[in-house]
Amino acid sequence: MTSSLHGRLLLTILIVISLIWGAWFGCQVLQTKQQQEAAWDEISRDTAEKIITSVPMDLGMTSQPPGFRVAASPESQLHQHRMGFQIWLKEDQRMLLGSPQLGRTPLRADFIDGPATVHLADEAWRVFAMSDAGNRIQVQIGKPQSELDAAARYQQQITLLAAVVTFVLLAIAIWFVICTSLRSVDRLQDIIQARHSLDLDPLPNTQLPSELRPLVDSFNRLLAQLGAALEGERRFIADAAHELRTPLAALTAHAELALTAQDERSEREALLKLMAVVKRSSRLSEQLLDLARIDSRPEASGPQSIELHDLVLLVARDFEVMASKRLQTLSLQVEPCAMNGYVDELGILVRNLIDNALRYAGEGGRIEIACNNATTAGGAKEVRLQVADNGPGVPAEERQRIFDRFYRVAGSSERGSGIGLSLVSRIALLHGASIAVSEGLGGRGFAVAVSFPGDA
Amino acid sequence: MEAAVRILLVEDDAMLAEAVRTGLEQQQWRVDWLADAASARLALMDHGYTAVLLDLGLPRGNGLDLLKFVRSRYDTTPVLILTARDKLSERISGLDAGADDYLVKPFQLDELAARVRAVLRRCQGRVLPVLAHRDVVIDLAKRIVTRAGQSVTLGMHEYRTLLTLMENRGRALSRSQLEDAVYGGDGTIESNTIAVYIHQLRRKLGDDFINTVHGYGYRVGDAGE
Repeated sequence: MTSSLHGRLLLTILIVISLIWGAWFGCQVLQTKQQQEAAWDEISRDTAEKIITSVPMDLGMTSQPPGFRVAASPESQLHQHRMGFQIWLKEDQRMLLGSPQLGRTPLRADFIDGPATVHLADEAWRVFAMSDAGNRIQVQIGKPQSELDAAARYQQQITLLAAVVTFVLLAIAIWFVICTSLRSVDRLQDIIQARHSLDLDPLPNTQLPSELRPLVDSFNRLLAQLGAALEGERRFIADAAHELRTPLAALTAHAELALTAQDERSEREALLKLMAVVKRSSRLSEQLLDLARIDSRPEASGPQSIELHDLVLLVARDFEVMASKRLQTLSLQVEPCAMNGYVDELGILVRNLIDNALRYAGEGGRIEIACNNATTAGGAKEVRLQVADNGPGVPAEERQRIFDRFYRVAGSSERGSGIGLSLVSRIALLHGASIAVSEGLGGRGFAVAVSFPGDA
Repeated sequence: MEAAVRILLVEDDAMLAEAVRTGLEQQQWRVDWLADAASARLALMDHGYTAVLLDLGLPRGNGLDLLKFVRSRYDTTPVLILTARDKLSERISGLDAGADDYLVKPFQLDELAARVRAVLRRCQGRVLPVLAHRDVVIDLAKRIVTRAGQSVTLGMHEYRTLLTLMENRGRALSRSQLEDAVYGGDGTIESNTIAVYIHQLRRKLGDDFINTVHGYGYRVGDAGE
C-alpha cells in the first residue's frame, strides 16, 4: 500500500465507498426489474378494466375482421412496441377481438386471471388476464419480457451513469478535503526541511490540529534533549582542549630533557618525571572520557540490578598497587547491597571517590570504604556508600564547591584535575542519589557518602 | 612450571602488543601474538597454551565471544582479560563468561606479570572440568553452579570463594588465603568481604555446606577428606 498519507486516505475512502455503492447498485438492479414488472402489471390491469367496460355486449355477433389502420408516424417506426391484447369468449374459448400481430393463439392458454410470465414460441411474455364480472369474456394483455427488461436496463444505465459522476465528484471532493487537512503536515515538513543541520530551535506549535500538537511537542522535547547533549559536547571539547594542553606541554619538555641529558643519572631522572606526567595525563584523559560519556549519553539503556558490594570490591582492587606503593591502608566494610543502576557509571563514581581519597589521604593514610543498607527517617530503604579518609580534609566552606567542574582545593599538594567529584555528583544525580560530605576518620580527613534509593 | 609457559596474546593494537610481548619475554615466557578474534579462535583449537591474554574489542569478532567459545569446548585454559578502565560492565561480563582475571588498561608490565603468575598458580593442577561436593556441582568451564540439579545464581566473587573452597575440599582455608584466591591481589585491602560471601553462599547452598573453623577460617567437607 502506498506510504503517502494522502494516497492512503483517498484509497481507503474510495474503496469503502465503492464497496458500499456496489452493494447498493446490486439491490437497485433487482428492484428496478421488479418495479418495471409491477408497473406494467398495474397498467395492464387498468387497460383490461377499460376494455371490459367498453366492449359492447354483442361483440361476439359481429364477424367483421378488423380493418382500421393507423397512420404511419416516424416515432412508431422507431419503437416497434409489440404489446397487444386479445378478448376471448370463455364459454367456447373463441377469440372475439385481438391485435393482429398476436395471431389467434391465446396469450394465456389456461385462462387464469392475474399476471404471469408465459412462453409463446420460445419467447417470454408478461401477460395480464382479467375476466368480466359475469365470467363470460376474458381480456388478455401481453408484452414481451425483453421489452420490459430493456426498459429496466435503460433505467439502470441512467442510475449507473449518475453514480459514476457522483463517484468522480466525491473523489475530487475527498482529495481536496484530505489535502486541506494535511496541509499543516506539509507545512511542518517544509519547515523542517528548510532547517540548517544543527538548528535545534523548537518547531512552532501554534495553529496545529490537536492531533499534531503532541507530536510536535514530543519532537521539540527531543530537540531540546539533543540540544543539551550537543551543548555538553561543545563544553566538553572546550574544557578538554584546555585541560590537555598543560600535561602535553610537560610531556614534551620532559621527553626533550631525557633526550638531551648529559649523563645517565639525569636521563633516568627525566624519564622518571616523564613517567609521572604520563600517568597524570592518562588519568586526566580517562576522566575526560568519563565526562564525555556521562555528558553525551545519560541513559541510553535502562538501569540494571546491581550488587553494589561486588562492584565496589572490583573497583577497589584496581587501587591495590597504588595504595601499597604509598603505604596506605584500604579497608572495605560491606554488606550485600542490591540496587538498580548503571554499571559503568557507578564504576566511574566509585573509582573517582576512592581515587580522590587515596590522592588526598597522603602517604601512610587510611581509607575506609563502606557500603550498607540503611533506612531513611521517612522509612524508605536506601543503599549507602561511604568513602572516608584520614587526610588533611577539606575546609567546611569549600565542601560544596568541590563538586563543581574544574574546581580545585587551593593549597593542596596533590594537583587534581577538578573533574573527579563533578563526575561523582553527575552520576549521583543520574541515579537519584543524594551526596553528603563530612569529616573523615578519627576526627580529621574527609568523607563522602552517597545514598542511593534502595531496591524497590 | 615456568619452563613451558606459552602465552597467547590477543590484542589488536600493535604498539601495546609489542610492549606486552617484550615485557613477558623478559620473564622467560614464550608469547604468541595474534591481532584478531578469528585467527585466535583457530590457534586456541589445540589447547597448547598455558594462558591467554585477551583484549575484548577485537576486529573480526569480539573477545567475549571468543572466551565463550573456549569455555563451551570445556577448555579451562586460564584467560586474563585486558579491558578499558571505564568498561566495568565489560569486565563483569568477561568474568561471568569464565575469565580468570582481568587487567585494566593502561597497566604496568610488572603488574601484568604478577597477575599472570597468580592465575597460573591458581589454575595449576586443575584437571577436572567439573567439581562436586554433596549435591553441589561446579562446571568450571561454563562457570555454572548447580545444587541438586537446580542452577544457583552466584555473584562473581561468591563463585570464586566457592571454587577455592571446593578445590581445597577437606582443607581449612584461612581468610587471607581465600582473599588471595578470590581477588588474586596482594591482600593489601582489609575487608570483611569473605565473611559476606560465605554468608551469601550458605544462604544459597545450605547452612552446613561450609564449615567455620574457629579462629582460622572456613572449610568445605570433613577435615582430611
